[in-house]
Amino acid sequence: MTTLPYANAEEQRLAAEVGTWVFLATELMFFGPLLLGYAYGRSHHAQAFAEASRQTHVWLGTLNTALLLTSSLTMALAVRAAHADARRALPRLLSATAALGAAFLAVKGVEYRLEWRAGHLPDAGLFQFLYWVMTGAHSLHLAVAIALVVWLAAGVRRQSGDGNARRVEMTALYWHFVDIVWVFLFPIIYLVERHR
Amino acid sequence: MKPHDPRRGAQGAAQPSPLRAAPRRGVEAARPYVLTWIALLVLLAASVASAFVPLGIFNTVVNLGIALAKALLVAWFFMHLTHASLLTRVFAAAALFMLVLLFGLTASDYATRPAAPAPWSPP
Repeated sequence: MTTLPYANAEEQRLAAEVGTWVFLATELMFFGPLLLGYAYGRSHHAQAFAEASRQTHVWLGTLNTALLLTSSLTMALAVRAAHADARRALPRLLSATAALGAAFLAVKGVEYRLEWRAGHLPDAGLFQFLYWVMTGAHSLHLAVAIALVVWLAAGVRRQSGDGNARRVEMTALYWHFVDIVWVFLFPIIYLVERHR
Repeated sequence: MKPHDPRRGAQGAAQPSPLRAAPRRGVEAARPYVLTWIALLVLLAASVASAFVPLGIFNTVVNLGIALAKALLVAWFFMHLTHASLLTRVFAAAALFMLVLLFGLTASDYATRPAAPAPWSPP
């Protein structure tokens, strides 16, 4: 595998790593203002946000968090398998990761359906608006991540060595980022004031 | 040695190439990953359980603290931020710094100015 224009493979890997993190930094700038809007709404309309949060489906949200955290485990194990050039384990771990991501989207779809029927639409209030935009943007990101992982899983036997390991590694960084975004969305959406 | 793949063409490495980097760190153990995952699920359970106990402002503090702990576990162990280059860490830190600026400057405005809702704004 050619490394041009890089001096060596390690330099090429570093470029990919830094480039991916720069991309993730821009992604943080995308989700950051949404979180800022949420912080404003939560501090200025605390009662409305608490009330709206109680109407979310906390057990579906908890299930989804567990699914996504588990998908990060299988993704991390996939990176490990890619570095070890484990040809049998890698496609299985990637498929498991994509399946867990798809399960998340399926549960999210059930939730959207319930909310749609209950009339908790984006125009119901600031909380609902932010809920739909934040979870919608997150689901879109997850869908892209799933497509990347499926693409890797499908092509894995045809690729070889370092190039493939690097692709798996960089896709994993994106996957974990999408997981981290959800880790923050979960408490601010579902757990605002559950005890009343 | 991997089997030769004809599709790799002229520059395909039939023999070990000096350009091919050695694996960065042998075959790692799977154990730290599984332990990280267990810690994440325990934190998730703690987060949900604490939300049903009235703790006042500490409900929010605990929930955001746990989210931060989960994010750090993922970044540290799954994203290998511990092994990442200094340059990578600078970019990760710069992103967080920009986020702090965004929140800090905005909050300094909203926190020091009384809210004056327009007549048509929702309560």
